[in-house]
Amino acid sequence: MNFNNKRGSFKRSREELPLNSNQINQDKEFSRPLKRSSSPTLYSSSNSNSNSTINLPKTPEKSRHVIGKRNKLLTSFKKAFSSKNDQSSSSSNVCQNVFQSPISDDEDSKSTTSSILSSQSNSPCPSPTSQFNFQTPPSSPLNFNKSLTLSLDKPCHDFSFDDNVNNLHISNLSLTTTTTTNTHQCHEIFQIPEIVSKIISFVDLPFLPHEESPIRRRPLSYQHALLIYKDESKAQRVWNDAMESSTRNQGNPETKRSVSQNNLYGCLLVNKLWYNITLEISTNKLFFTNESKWLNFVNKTRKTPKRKVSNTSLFIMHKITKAKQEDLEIVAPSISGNLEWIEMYICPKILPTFSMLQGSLLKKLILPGSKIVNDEFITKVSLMCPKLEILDLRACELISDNSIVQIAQNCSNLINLNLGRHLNGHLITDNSLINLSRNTKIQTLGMAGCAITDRGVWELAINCSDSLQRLSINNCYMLTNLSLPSIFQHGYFHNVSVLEIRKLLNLTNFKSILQYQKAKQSQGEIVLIEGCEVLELRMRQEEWRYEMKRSSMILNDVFNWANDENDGDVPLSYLVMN
Amino acid sequence: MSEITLTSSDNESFKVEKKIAERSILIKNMIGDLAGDDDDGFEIPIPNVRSTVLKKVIEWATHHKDTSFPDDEDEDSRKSAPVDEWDKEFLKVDQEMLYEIILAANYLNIRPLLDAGCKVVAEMIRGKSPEEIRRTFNIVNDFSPEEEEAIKRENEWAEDR
Repeated sequence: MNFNNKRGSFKRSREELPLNSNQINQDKEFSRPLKRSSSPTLYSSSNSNSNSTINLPKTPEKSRHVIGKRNKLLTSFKKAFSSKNDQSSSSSNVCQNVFQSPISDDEDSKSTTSSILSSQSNSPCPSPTSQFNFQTPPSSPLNFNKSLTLSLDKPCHDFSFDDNVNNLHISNLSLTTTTTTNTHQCHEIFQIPEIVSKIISFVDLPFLPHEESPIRRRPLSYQHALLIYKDESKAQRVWNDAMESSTRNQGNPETKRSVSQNNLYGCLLVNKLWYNITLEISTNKLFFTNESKWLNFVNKTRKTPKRKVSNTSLFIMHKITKAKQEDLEIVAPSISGNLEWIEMYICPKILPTFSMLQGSLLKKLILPGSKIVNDEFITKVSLMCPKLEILDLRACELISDNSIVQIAQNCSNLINLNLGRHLNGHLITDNSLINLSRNTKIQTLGMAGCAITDRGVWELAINCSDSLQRLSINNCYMLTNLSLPSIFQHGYFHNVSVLEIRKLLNLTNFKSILQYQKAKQSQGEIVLIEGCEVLELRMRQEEWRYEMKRSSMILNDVFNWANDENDGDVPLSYLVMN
Repeated sequence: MSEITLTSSDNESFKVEKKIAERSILIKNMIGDLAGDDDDGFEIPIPNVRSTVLKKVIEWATHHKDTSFPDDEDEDSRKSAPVDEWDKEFLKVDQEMLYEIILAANYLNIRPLLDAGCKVVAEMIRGKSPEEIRRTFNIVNDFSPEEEEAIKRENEWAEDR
């Protein structure tokens, strides 16, 4: 193994990193890292602590215990330090300095020259190769070996050991100048890619554009609000809010935007190392909420060569209604391979490409409002994405039983599915519901506006009562008293916390549903039941009947107790008569 | 209870309970690989950590000897978790010391300490302009004005990140 070459390729790979758009003069570029490399370690260490100047290996007597186990040590550290034989050459210090081995090596650098060498090689980027290799920054020092081998695999170029020696003199010269001019030096940690990467990844606060799901849906009228909140002032307030927000957003829920953060963007422009790392981190999660930014990204991708491995795990386009499929095709190759979450929220004209589904990692596919997603596409998804957990196809009105049955049969991890729609409800029937019930452990199910019947809902109750937490069956006009009331009466759906039943006009019996709600309430759990005006009214009436019955029972008890002839006190009839 | 001796770069030795020392995965692996059954008195040189820093690291490990830290795998929850209150106080040191602790945590492979340190530094970065970041950490700007311009142009998409 030729360490000189390795050294060369270190340099080389660093040199190649920066902006691929700008090929920089080699000489100029070469002198720069040297100048930087000379000072930080030598200067700072000699200043702060004379003992630690060079990080000379420990003296043998100090670590006799270790030396005693030396053979064992060497074997175990072979993983970390590629070859023992090469340690006598100065280049071994590359390793030694980065992740210093606890081995005390007698034949290793004891002379001053090699110690200078060692500090020289303790360059600003002690493990430069990993700069681009890391997918996840290696946390363990032992990982160093991995990037080392990678770098060795690369062809080696014009840098040789001689270069280093020559440069050393230059660096020693520059050392003297920097000592006098620069009183503050950048600390080493801001030049070690793994650490910078970690820091910057913490700078990035996870924020994603999303619709805030309302705790309760907006009331449909003041009367409705009154029925829900049973209190005039509160109803008035809620209704006013609802009116106001619907005029502001044309009835669409508001999209929460971050307060402009600019955190990562600041890191991008610090220097070249930071630029590369920040770019890597910001492509991990890509989200676009604005057309011009999206187009800018498309442009940038068009110019940049395709990355070998994409690190993008999340790709969100939020309400970019004019986004075009051809632009997405340009971006797709460089973001495909590791996607776990694809979201195209109200982007009606685009669909993920099949390359984006590759990798079988996809867990979350969100395509509400797509005008083009069809059964063929979703069937393909069911085959390519066996790990799918969340599928949102709200208002995707071309989708029918055909593909949903496939999803149910191929994606057994599915826990959240939304098929709610206003048009083409007849395309989704009991067939979908029964297949989902039998093959998945669904937790959240949206079937609003679909042509499902009591039979399908019963199937769901029998198979998925343990898992089901949220159920939306608004506008499923075929449902009657034969399903929900009876299901709750028999103790199914015992984990439901949200139940949306707007416009189920055939539903008239609320006794068991309200009993369930009250029972949960007594355990401290809130069950939200969303009805329309008619259903809220029916529920209030049922509640009133229940209250009446309860009060009359209590009254009856009191009356009986007061009038008990045999309890020893004076009977009421006697008091009245006298 | 077995004790391990750790020796700093400036030859100061610290006797540490094995359990505490094993907060460092590097040391843990070494003990596992090399010490055998009788690990009492096992001596490990830590040749690139100064005694003052090593002392801090041991203080941290001693405090956290019984803490169970979240799984390595769950990158996202680790990212969003706030820095532990005790750690926050512990890391209220001068910048040089903070950086040295981070460096030592990286070398010794003590992930929770490395995370906490990096989070504190990340907090220093938030809301700062590139120039302010450079000034805070004495980082040299190696972009030419043209390069900087090109980067800005190319990365408008990341502006609100």
